[in-house]
Amino acid sequence: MGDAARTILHVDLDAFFAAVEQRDDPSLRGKPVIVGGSARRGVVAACSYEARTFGVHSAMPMAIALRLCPRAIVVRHHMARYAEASRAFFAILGDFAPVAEALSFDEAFLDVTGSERLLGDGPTIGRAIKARVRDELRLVASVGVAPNKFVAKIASDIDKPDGLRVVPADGILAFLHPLPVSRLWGVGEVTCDRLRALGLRTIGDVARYPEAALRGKLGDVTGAHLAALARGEDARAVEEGQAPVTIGHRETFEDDHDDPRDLEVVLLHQADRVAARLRAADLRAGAVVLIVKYDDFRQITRRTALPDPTTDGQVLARAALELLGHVEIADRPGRRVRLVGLSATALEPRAAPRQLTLDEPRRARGERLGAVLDEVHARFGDAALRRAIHVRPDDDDDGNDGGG
Amino acid sequence: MEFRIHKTEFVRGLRLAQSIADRKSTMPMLANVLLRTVGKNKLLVAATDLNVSLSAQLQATATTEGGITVNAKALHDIVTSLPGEELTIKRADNGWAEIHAGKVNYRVVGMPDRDFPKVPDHREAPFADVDAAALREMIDRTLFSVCNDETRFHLNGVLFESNGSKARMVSTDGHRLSKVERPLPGGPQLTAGVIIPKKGLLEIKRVLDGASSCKLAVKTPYVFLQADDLVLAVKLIDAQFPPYEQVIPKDHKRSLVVDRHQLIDALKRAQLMSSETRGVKMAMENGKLTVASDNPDVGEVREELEADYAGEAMAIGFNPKYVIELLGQMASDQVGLDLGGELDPGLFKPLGADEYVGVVMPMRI
Repeated sequence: MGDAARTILHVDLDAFFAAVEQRDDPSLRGKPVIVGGSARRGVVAACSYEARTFGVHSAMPMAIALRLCPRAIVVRHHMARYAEASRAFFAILGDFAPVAEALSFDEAFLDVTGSERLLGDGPTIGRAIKARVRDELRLVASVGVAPNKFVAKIASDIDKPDGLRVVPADGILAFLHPLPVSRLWGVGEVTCDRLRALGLRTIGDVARYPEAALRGKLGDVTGAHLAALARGEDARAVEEGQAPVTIGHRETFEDDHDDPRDLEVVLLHQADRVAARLRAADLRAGAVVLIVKYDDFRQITRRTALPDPTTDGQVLARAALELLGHVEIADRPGRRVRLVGLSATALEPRAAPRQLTLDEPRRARGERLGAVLDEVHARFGDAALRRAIHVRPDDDDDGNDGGG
Repeated sequence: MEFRIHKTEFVRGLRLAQSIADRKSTMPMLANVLLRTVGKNKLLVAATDLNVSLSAQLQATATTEGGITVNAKALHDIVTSLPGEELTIKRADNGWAEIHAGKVNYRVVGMPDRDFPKVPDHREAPFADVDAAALREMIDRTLFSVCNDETRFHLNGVLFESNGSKARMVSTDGHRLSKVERPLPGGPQLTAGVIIPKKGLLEIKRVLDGASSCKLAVKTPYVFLQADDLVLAVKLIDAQFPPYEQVIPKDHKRSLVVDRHQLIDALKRAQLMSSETRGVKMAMENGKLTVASDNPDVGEVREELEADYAGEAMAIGFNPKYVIELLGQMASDQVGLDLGGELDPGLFKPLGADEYVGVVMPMRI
């Protein structure tokens, strides 16, 4: 539907976090670099292409990554620098299309259909973006150019790093069909296994399989969805600023915790950071989710609705601590905690109508304190002002949601 | 154990028992009602969820002494369905209860009465007669604004203050507050207010419904209510009620008087164009009040009411549900509304001698 008429670009920065580290520290260039919270625990947030040749990839447990690549240099992440690079990246993208749909810090879809008359065709725009990212940010971007989002995203990935793949409308099927089914958008391990059980290994196999049968096996929605993708059809529009569904922070610990009081300190800090991000995005949270992962990797989440939506970190923290009080934590296997996280959800715009509360003055103080924290952090950095309870001799920076 | 009882007499106790009995508890016994003969002419009917307990001494004829417990809901439903005016209940082997009425014979699974939790003892409580209608009215006027959020348990009930001649009840859910005062001669002389939980008040209301007079007593940690042969014991919420006087506005810049029924009707009409998260706008100017609401997904409505207002024009947003519930508890023809700014609480009060006020926080719209 209208696919032939559109030109969509998917632009993705290569090994973003690691590339920023290598750019800012010449001694890291040409070496296997892993960005992550900790050398022993946690997961790989990003890794350089030198590390990838050893089989390291992001989201891999750090211990495994270091076994694969013992010579890797592990660096702590520097979120502020990535955020700055990300802002500059999106500023560049804004020069090429009226709408950039951010998928994360470092990747976006652009619909350049309307820009082509002024700026040249899709491939020309793709090359121009790559050049500006290289010149202005000293980073490398890969670009996919295709008639729709699904194909563009695969195209940007296929020639990484420093790729530029153009898939014209009449080349979609030839491009897609040899690829494995795991490339289909929305296909995870489970669906992948079910497709394999049907003898479908490539996207071409799916395209040749009768759609009615596919619907019968996978359900109407999934079946129709995969059949359409396999035919190279994806009518999703490029949309700006899809409001986030949740805003959260999580941290994997050096050592497992069996004392809830340790977790409380972490949650208080996370609540303040989540609150700051809520305020930055002009959102209020209507509910809080607590995430706890045990040493056996079993993860539980607990949610509570707030009586009044808020941007106050202390209110988020109180709700999270209340939830934590109902979670079993003990000094025995399966009950020690390796990760704790806090998410704000049921988000609504700060400008939305709001029922005021009888303790409005106290509530307003909480929100004002948040604004003060934001201002101090903006001027002096994150560590400048913290609640007294966060200041410990062995104070640690925490991990962060979001990929690299 | 065997006794004979009038059906209507029995149902009077069972109706309360089945509403108190806790079917969802992890303790199966709490879903049951206790039946135990007391002498030759009385039957004790008791139920509890450990917070609210009922004990009723009903007229019955005991032929053999003893006791048993049976599922309260099941027994209530069985007894109300039975033919005739009288029935007999007998404990059979293995804790079964046999129920006979006319030609109907039920056998129902029971549990031994010795495992039934002890119901709070009311014999030592300092009961005194109070006006049942006044008590009932005070409960009605505050129960609706009790907070249902279990994490704020100190707000999950009504604050009750009493000095022996006058009583006060206050409730709030953080968005609104209601406060009522009534003469209550004979009421408990309390040095500090007590918080009566919502479920307890609902049961108290049920008991008061069929009573013309009642006796009230507070003996920490319980409040007791006795009406005829029914006694309720309600466990008080052990917490500090917030300093409510602080949130009741003492002075105001603007004051409006409007017909209460007209305002309720206008708000109900505006509510049709409103939603949970959107308020209704009340705009006042010289001599009139405009009630309006709009919803981009549905439509809009405006209605003008005559009002006694001479201040400067202003508009304020309210959750219509809060105002309607409050106005519905008033009895006067006219209602007064005192306001500060558009983000300050609104104070609603019936015109006349009625000592009742409601504070409603506006919505920022």
